[in-house]
Amino acid sequence: MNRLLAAICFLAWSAPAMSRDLTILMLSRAEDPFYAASVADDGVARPAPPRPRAGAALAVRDVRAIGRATGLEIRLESRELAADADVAQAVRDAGPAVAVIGDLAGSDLLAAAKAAAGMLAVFNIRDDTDALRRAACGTSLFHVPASTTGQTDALAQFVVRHNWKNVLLLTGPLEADRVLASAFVVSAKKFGARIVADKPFVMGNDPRRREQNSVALMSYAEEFDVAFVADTAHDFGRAVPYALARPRPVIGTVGLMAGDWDPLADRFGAPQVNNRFAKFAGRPMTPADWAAWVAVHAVVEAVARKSAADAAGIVQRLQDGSVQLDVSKGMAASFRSWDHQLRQPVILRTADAVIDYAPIEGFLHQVTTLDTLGLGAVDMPCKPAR
Amino acid sequence: MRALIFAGLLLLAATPARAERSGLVFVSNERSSQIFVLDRNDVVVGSFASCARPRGLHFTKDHTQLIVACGGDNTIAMYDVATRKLVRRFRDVPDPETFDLAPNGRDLYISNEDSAEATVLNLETGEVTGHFPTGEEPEGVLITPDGKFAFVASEAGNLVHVIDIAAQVVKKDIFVSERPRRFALTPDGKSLWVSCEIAGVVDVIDVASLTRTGSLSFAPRGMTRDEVTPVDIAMNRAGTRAWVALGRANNVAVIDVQRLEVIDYILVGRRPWGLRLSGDETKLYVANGLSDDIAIVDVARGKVVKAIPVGIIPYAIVIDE
Repeated sequence: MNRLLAAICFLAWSAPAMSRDLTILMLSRAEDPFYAASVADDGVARPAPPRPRAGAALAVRDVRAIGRATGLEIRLESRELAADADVAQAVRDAGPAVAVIGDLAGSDLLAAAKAAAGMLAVFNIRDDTDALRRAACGTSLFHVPASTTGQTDALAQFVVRHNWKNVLLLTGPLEADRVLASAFVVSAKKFGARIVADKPFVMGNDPRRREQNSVALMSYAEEFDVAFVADTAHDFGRAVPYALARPRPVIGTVGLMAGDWDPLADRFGAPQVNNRFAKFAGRPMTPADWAAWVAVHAVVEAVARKSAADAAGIVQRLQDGSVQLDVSKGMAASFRSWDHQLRQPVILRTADAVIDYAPIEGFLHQVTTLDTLGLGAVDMPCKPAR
Repeated sequence: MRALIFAGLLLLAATPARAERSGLVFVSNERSSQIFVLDRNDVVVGSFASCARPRGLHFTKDHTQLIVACGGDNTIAMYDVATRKLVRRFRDVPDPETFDLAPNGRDLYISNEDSAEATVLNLETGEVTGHFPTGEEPEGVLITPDGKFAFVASEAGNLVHVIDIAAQVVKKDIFVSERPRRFALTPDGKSLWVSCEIAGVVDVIDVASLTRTGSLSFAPRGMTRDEVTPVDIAMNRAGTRAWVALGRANNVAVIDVQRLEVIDYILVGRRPWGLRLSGDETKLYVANGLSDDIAIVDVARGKVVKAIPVGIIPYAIVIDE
């Protein structure tokens, strides 16, 4: 029966135009610690995140009709680098691929982008650090995930909008925790929230250090509307919502969190993308899956509708902002010229619900409200290529 | 042969029924799975539970039955207009969203949002007689009154697919702006309008050449370009005026069709999507998805005169007249 349907479908296609190949290369690395199943100190096993190849593969299937309309034969090629292989060489050998999706750590992405020398777009699909965006300035690295600043801006807008302007900051022991907390401090200042106290948190039960390991004590003496938790290891933070001395909402790495994508998003066509992905891959769509999906759409859009002729043409179309993408978050997304960051709405979500989308109503910008989120041109060490 | 006789009967049946239509307004509510019914005076006279997540609505040619597309339980259901009872149900239609009825009154062209295809359902036999692959998330469907073409918009593919009905093939895929949603055809059949939600425009396609020839953008007062998310389009019979629901911009735009220019904006409610012009063209019904009401616009004055609470997330409006 299925075969019969397939035959009917095939007959129903009109004759295709002359076909051209469009190959996108997805690079990953063996033994990538990002995919190691982590057993944290608390003994709780946290499953390793799935590889995001399925996101890119779904996008290739999604663009079938565009391929039919334009005569493009769109393919995805995957290559896994050995643990010690040179990523720069892999990028130099990328041909005939016209773009690279990097399922790679920040250092690899930077090396890949330098090797691409502005002639080949490389997509970052999982690193959200502001540091990578600054370091990669001037290269052809394009960032799909919202930056840390984009995320903290979204949260700051949310608390200001709700008039929860007094924020208690609880910061974990890791460098990444301090970076996240500092980003939130800047965002709070930008949008008019106030940090009432910044308390460092350490793990442990030592009663002599209880002012640093007891959330109740740390929150007892302060008047605050909301607590911001910076715990990137998802360790002590998980208990904070029920450990505060005052009943207050929690945001940051627990409670209300900023994210790029959510399998429970129910607006702007997101359910269709999520249903399609779940059927295709047999699991929920992660933010990295979604980012890989966006990267494929961006390349196809640059070629099929903005008539980029080659890899360098794709870089050009992406950085001049002419590629506008429907990323199922309600507003058209495009890449910023100054840092190649995807200009996009940020999802504000809890573990089981999408609460809101930033930019939050009421925060204005002279060009687009999307640019109230993230690093502005003035924050970047270099200027756009042209 | 049987089909031919049936089609003939339908034609016969269609003519006399015209005299006494109820004037009732039917509204599908996608989140509460209800159909609300308003009378000629715009008073809610009832509602009934429908199949799950009802969206697209259409009457059968003789207006005795209401056809409802239900994405929640993969159903096309038909309700008796007079009694509002379920008459017939076609199951296993994958995620139907909107549809149009061919001039033969028998073939329903349906966009199957989750399975990237348009299918043809024979309302007489219940058979699916055609499958047309589309881009992802097919949405609006419009069949030309001469029965020559069925147009299907692919939201995620940014394409309008042109199905040649006689040949039963996809004749062309036309590139349009981001997230095409709904269609309107000028009464002379020459121009096809398609709303593009994310791009914030209405693209105009020349039907003779099947190419995009123009685009119309919107700038309602106090709204940013990003908030302009057009969805449904209504046009009058003379082909002089059109109305476009602008989604998150909370306005309906009034268009001078000949000049392809916006002449007015009407603030209507939160996130208007569905539109329907009354038969006498004095009233425009607007479904406000995020304020759960139907706004009624006095067309002559260009103002909302009434807002009627309905179910949760009203979607489509049809009038039995």
